[in-house]
Amino acid sequence: MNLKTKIGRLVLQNPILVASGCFGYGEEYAPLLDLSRLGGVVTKGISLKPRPGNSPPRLAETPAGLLNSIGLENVGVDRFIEEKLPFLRKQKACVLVNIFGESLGEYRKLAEILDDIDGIAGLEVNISCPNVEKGGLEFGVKPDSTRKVIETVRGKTSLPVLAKLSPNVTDIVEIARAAMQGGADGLTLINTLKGMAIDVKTRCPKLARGIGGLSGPAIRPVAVRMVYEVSRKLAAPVIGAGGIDSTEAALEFFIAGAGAVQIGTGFLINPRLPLTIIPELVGYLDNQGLKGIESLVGNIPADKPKRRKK
Amino acid sequence: MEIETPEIAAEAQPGQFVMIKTREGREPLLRRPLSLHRVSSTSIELLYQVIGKGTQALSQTRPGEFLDLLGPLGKPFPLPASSSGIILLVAGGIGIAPLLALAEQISERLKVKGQRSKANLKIHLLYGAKTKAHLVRISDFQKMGIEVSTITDDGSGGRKGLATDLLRKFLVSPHGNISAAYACGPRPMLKTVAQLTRNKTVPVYLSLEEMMACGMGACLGCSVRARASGIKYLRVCQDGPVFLAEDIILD
Repeated sequence: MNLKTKIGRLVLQNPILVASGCFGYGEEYAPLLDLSRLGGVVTKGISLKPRPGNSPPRLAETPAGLLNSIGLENVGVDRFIEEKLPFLRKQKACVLVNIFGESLGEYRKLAEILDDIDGIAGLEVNISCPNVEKGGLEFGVKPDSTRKVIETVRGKTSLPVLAKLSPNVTDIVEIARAAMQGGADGLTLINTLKGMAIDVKTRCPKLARGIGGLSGPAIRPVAVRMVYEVSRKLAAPVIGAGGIDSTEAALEFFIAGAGAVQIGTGFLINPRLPLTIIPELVGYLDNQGLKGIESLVGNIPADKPKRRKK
Repeated sequence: MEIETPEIAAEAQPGQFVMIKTREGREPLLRRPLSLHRVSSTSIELLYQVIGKGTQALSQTRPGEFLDLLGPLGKPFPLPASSSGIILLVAGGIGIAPLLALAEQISERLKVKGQRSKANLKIHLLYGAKTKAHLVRISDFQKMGIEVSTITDDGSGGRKGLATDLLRKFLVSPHGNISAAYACGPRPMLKTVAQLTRNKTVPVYLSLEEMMACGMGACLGCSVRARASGIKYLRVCQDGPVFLAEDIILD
């Protein structure tokens, strides 16, 4: 069974990837799993200059969820290229570099620099992060600025470009359309949802910055719905992300219209998960009489909710 | 609790921890970090207090059940470099947990070196807890020839106050040269330990605790402020959990 899948021009050996921010730059997890067996790894978001990240506490657990306010801490693009990328290359991983900037100029420079580097399969553009100062990273809440950022990156690189979209918007289809118009090869849906938790003993927000990004099983229905709407209305290639913690969860996303999925929080909790899902996926396709992943993507026999037979 | 786990026990060093899935399923969602209380050839022991959802779930495990563990993780306690002088252990509440593993390791090493050197190295444990009932494992420490001083918040054991009150007193009385200190307990306690030992030239090791998601150094969720210039944060799970007091800033 061939699990090969295509997202725009990006060809993946299988549709199971690890999400940005949940994997570091690979070194920590390499002893635990063979990175070359993953469909791909998405690096921690890289910026032009290193960023220290936010004050702790940066984490809070919520019902079936995780709130984070890491603040895009990263080593910066120079150190990434010099120190982190060589390791990933040696592991023969399929590397997607997640990038973000605080201005169009920064996105431009990042795309320019990374376009020139060997061993990168594609760029994932982070256009919305809930965890940095205002004015920093809210390009992705408006179609216009979304399109501009993707155009800027597209203009400087021939690498496949994915736009990672924020769900904290009124109309995800509108934003997705703008990203595709800007020249994206595909879309990662979704980034974290803005959220907050309060410690009732101290009467303080649990995160130092108050508001953070919610991930984990709690957000899955939001993510599935966005994958479904975007892939139906735009026929755009989509990578689904949001609370995948089992093969069944991954299948929801494929059926909704995703050609591949990313596992983030689920991976933090269970690093064995991606490599467990792959054979189970094969088993499911076999059972369903389907020839490959592509025949599962968006494959809803009739678009009417069927009642489960008792 | 004692967990049979030859693979983890084989690599485990005092000061390290494991990330435990305290219950199957999504409630609670994340693993919990728990420090190694004791290490033997095929098993590890954990000591914990039931405080939140994770420890609550853990307390419901029954003998014979299987637990999903990730470990051993983190940097272990560096062993004292010299074989003479005083080793100071400072424990606050459940912070006693990793210090037993450390004490047993130091004791074991001394035994291997022979009785002579054992006389030159003296371990003192300064141990504070809420009440007398919260003071645990005293005899395990005493069995190794360790001098144990205890104190409780409510004075039920005799002395009233905090472990750091014992430390304050210890530092001003002539016990001999302290060659290393190891502390584990609540943040405010560790902050005080760092302050009290600020001007000493001896290494003071603090074992920290922090909310963790991955426990592996990847997600960057468990940061602590670093003192070194050019570095703003260190990861408790990977760069720690044991830190030299002078390397970190505790708020």
